[in-house]
Amino acid sequence: MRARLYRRVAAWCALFALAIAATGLWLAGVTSEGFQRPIDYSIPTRLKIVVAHLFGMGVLLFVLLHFLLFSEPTSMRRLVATAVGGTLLILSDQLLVPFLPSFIALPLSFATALLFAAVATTLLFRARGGARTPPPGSQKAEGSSLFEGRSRQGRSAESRSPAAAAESAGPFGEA
Amino acid sequence: MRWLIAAMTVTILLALAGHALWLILAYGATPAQILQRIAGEEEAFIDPLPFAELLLQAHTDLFFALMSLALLAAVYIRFTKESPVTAAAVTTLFASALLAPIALLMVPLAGMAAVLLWIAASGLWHLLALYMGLSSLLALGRSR
Repeated sequence: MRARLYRRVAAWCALFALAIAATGLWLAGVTSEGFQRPIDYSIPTRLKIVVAHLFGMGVLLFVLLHFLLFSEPTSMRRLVATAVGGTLLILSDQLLVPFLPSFIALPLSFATALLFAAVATTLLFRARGGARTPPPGSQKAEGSSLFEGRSRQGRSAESRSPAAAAESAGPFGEA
Repeated sequence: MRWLIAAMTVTILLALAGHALWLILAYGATPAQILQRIAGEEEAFIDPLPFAELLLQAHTDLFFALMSLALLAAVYIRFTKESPVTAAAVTTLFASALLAPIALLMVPLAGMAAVLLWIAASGLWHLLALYMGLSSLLALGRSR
């Protein structure tokens, strides 16, 4: 089952997300001399940091949603909730940094960043475990899953050539 | 879709090659040069790199590896037959990519041993990623 390998990749992604959050926190601790001195960056420097983080966290959320979509039967409501919740966390984390004084912004920013990392990790580990039975109202239960949609076309992915299968499969293949 | 996957794989391979080249240019090509660049050398009046700079390098390397390897591994899994070799390749790829920044952060403490570990881990994950990308592209080309 390829799904097992995709779940392994999802688990590694979760571990990397945690490592990224840990090194980010460590970096902030080193820069602020153990959080004793407030980090007083200029606005352009803060914006430089914010732009990189908005991009990075946005792409991480994008990959996370794809793993959720392709690794287990997930309801559309949960996907939308994850997308909206993740985006709000990213925005609140990054918009706090440049526009608030350091002593308020730093703890709030760390709290939201850690929450984002925790949510991302939890969701990726859930994707790793996979749901054996489709929850009520899920895509698979409604027969609208991408995977099920393909199998209904009578084209078994395993019997096709890899490229032909990829023509219809998503970037993360079939569960 | 096939062209899209091929273009993405080629772009990731180019990014990986650029990343490896940039690491060589920034830190040096030999273990002695890398150690001198990171830990400094009093006799040559070379200051050690600030630890915050090493942390920033590890932080960005982790993100770069996460994004490029997640996509590359997904494509590789899709285009190869499932076997213990595939599973081992994916595990080794991610494990070595995670080990490389850890080794880099250990250089000020462990010296040359950490440098050698960093070179081995970085080389391994870059080469494995190259192999995975090329074999995916070959599978794509064969199936036309």
